[in-house]
Amino acid sequence: VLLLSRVALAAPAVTLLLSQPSGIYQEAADSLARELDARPGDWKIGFATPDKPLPLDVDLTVAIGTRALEAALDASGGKPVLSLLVPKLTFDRLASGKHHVSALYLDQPLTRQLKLLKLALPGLRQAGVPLGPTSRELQFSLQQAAEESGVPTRTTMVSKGLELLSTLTGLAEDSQAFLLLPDPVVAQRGTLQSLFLHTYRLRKPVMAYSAPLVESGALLAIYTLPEQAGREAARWIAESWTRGGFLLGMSRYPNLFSISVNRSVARSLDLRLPSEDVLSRQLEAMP
Amino acid sequence: MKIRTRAFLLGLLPTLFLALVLSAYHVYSRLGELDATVRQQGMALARHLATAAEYGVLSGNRRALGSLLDEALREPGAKSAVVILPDRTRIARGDPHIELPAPHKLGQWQAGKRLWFMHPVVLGKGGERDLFFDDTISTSETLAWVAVGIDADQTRVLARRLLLTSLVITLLGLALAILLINRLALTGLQPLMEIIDTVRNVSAGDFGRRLRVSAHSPELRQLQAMVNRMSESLRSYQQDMEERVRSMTAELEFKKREAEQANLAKSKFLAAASHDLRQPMHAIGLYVESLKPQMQGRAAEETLNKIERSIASMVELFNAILDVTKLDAGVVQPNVAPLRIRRFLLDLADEFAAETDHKGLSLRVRAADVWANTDEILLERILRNLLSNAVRHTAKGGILLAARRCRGRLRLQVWDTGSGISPEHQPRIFEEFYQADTDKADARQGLGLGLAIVSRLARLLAYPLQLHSQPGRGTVISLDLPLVENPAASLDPADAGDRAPLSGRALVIDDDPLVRDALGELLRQWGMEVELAANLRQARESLGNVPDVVLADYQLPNGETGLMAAQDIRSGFGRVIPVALITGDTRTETIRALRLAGFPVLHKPVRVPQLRSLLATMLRDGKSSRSAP
Repeated sequence: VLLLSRVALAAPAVTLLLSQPSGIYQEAADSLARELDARPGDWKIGFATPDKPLPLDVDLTVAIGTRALEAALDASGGKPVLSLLVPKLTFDRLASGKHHVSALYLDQPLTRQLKLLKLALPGLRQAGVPLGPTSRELQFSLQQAAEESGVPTRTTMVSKGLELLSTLTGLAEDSQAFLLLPDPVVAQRGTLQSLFLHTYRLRKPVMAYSAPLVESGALLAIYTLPEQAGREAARWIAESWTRGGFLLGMSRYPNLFSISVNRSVARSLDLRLPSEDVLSRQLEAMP
Repeated sequence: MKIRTRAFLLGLLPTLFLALVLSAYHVYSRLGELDATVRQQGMALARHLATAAEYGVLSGNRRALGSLLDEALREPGAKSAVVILPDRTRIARGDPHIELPAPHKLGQWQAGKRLWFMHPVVLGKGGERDLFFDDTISTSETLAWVAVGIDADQTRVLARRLLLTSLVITLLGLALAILLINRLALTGLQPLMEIIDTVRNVSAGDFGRRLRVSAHSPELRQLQAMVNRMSESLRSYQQDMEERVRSMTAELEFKKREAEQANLAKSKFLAAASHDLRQPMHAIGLYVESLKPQMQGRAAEETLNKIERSIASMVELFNAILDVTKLDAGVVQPNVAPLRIRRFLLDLADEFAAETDHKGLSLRVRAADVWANTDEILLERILRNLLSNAVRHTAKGGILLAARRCRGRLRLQVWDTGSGISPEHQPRIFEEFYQADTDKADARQGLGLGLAIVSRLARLLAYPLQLHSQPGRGTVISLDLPLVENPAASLDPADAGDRAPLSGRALVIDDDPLVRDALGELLRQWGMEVELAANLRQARESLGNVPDVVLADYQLPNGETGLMAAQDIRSGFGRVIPVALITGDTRTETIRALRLAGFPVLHKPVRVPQLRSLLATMLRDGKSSRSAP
């Protein structure tokens, strides 16, 4: 259902509420503001942080980051809110049933991820996916995505960090690669190295969801950069405004994405992968 | 080596040896361990780094590798750490500017001051299930290489530190050992050193020196006590000996005094006896001489001659005793002058001719006509004694008086074919009163003083005296005299006629009336005017005219002496009058005093020819001195 609300035709006021006025939040905000300014219309863009009172007379609040989303939800008073850089699961937990809040998710659609994995590893017959307490909610979505992408998956639950390595060993028996999904138990900073080292020893590549993870040892990852998120959000806002109002109650995965490949890992595992650009084009070209 | 040094070395050397050996062993073994440790450490570091680098290499995480290498360099001694990736790129930390060999083998090597350890980075095994499933994992697959450079110097630095530490510990140990040796060992020796010191002092004569009995060891205590006892014994022994020596010395002193007194008594007795005998003998001689003209041609003349000869023998005897006394007193001084030896010997032989003829012996003189430097009177006395002896001891054969040159000197010899002297007697015949052949009953054997006088005179004149004799064959006695090659002039004195009358006035002073009268009578017979005086007073009174010569007895009554009389008369007339002293006193102090006074002295009993000769000389000298201006 698409709800359009035309609050102000002449000069829409947009407040960018940042979890922190720095880093990826600032990057995304800058990108968004820059893109929006380039669009027709007299955009009144304001910046805010959760520790200050939010201006009330805004047409749209763009909450960048989870903390910003929480603050925006508290203070919006039913006015439209767009969530940026927040994973789908988090967004669902915080904003379910709130129709004035929509989101451009931080994460990639699972189907896209599996497709990319297939592209990168043509011989892939099954992908092993360790799921933690948080990511287990994606199990159903994962089955759907597997069917859509034609890449069978096998999932194993991990309740504690200590179980992770044995879980991976188990999964490795019939999987040719691992898909890593965001979960504090599965992919926590302190255990990443041992995780990757273990997968090397198992000689199974890992596909992850961020550039730092690729640097840390994942074979490849697909993700949306903050700048891409900001840009895509700006287009989305502008298009909505052009169509007569801000989008409300509709959330989606980003269309823009980036791919990173760790060549060292590929070489170590004796894998030959196309370049990131080629992969991107192939992925975009897929139905 | 001193005992203290020995003890010190005994304590120190084993310690030193042990310290050095242990230190050397310790250093040697530690160095070996150190080297092994460094190598193990290097290899372990490389292995560890390889393992740790596995993830970084696999993930291509250069930052992670970099921090890993940084971490490795914090290990002690690690100077370089390198990861060589399969594409030959390197991630290096430290000082890796070095040619690394082809990194395809595990190992270690040394390049310069760096020990290199290389280890491959391999992919480890996946998990326990791999034990059951043979998957495609190749565990030996090399992902990359790590090389670790360890400073080889650190071994040397550590070795130096180790050596230094060992040295310091050794030195400290030695210092402690020296301290302990000094404190314990040498302190223990102290009593021994004290004992040595004490014994040294005792041996140097410090008897009775004591030592504190302070040693801890019972043996040393015993030794100290024994040294004290020995020292004490020596002291008491010394005291005992000193006491004995003192008493012996005192005894000897006493005996010596006794002997001296006995000798003195003997001398006094001899002197007194000879003096008392001389007086009458002197008188008898003078009377016999004065009787001779009266007895001429009468039957009693022969008897008178015999009396005269007997008197002459007795005078000889007295003179011999006197000679020995005088020679022993050292008052005889030789008056040396050149002497024509041949003539001297012929004259002497003439005197003995009658005697030898009487015994049926031949007496010959064989002499070169040479001159010798000698005292004629003393030499005559020597030869006269020797000839007398020869005649006395020769029964048949003859006597030879010889003079010949021998090695630049003149050798005088008296040969005889007499009984000879057996070898056992030869060394002693020159002693006084020694008679070799006492068993022979020879009335004219004499007193045994002849050779004693000869030996004393020869010693006085410094003539070597030699005796060669064979019992039954004969005897030869030799004397060596200094020769005179060219005497300046003939000093042969004119032989004044013995029988020429003497003219002049003589004053005779003698307290013995017999002697005084006899002397007066004799002088008158010789043609002199004589004044007689018994003492000094009479002498002064009797002097009407100045006497030409004075004959004074030395010992006069009332403590007066002939010397005093001579000086009195000389001062009375105010001129030098020749004075001769006659004495029977044979004491050496008297003889010495008379000699010092410078007057001619005649000893009682006076030989008449000697008296006449002296008077003749005095009268001649007196005249010449008076006629001198």
